Amino acid sequence: MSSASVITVTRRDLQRRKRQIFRELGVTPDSFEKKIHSPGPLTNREWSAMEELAEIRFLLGDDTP
Amino acid sequence: MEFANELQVLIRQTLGTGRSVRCVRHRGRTTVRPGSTQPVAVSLTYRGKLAARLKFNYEIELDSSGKYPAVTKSEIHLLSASTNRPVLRYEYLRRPNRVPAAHWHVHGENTEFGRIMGGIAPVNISLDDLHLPVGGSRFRPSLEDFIEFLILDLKFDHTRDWRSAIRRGRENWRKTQVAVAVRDSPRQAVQALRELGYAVEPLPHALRDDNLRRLREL
Repeated sequence: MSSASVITVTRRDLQRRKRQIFRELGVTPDSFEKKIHSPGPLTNREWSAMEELAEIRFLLGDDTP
Repeated sequence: MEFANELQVLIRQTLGTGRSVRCVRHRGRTTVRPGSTQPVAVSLTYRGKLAARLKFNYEIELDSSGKYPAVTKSEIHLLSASTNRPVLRYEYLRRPNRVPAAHWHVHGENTEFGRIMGGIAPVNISLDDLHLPVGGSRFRPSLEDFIEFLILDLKFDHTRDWRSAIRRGRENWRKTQVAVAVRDSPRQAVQALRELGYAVEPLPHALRDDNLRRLREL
């Protein structure tokens, strides 16, 4: 069975990826924030973007209160 | 890395998925979750048809000594396959703020709960706002427990030999948790070992004090 791999990223990679996610979704950060906090359904792409943005926040240390 | 491997083996040997588990690392911070460069939830099927999704992720940072990685947050969610919204959430926070360290959220409507909360007018709270406590930091459930629940209670498709993988993983998890629980209360551990017939004497530098914060926290 193959082993899990490690992806090492830089601060620049994370910031670039964050901008790319919003560009691909075609939304602003504010409107996406509203969408994910609304009760409606999320597409697979939106769900994945929401998760990836949370991951980026954590990795950049932007999640601390 | 070893942790990610264990999780990958666990989901493949229980749920029969081919999904990979990845570590994504930046400086002292690491996340572990299914997917590739992007997070992807694990498909849960019933008789071969997509029925729900399993999301899990672990956030890992170096502990206060700066030497050892520690899970600071974990989330295990059962998601609706049609809306990607959670049905159940089991979460852990190493440094909780006014909530139990390990807790469940249940999403849904409950008439009786509505009646209770209807009588407490100033409090506007829904079922999924509740944090149902489960064992604190040391005695919290593992991903193995969650997967076993998915298989036994919700009847999702699984491998033939899923129980062996669950038992192996749970044994490892609980041994780790026993070791850290011993550090929380060394005197209690010494007493228990003496009752089992062991001769245990602390060395001069031995840690003797209980970690009261860990022993008392929710």
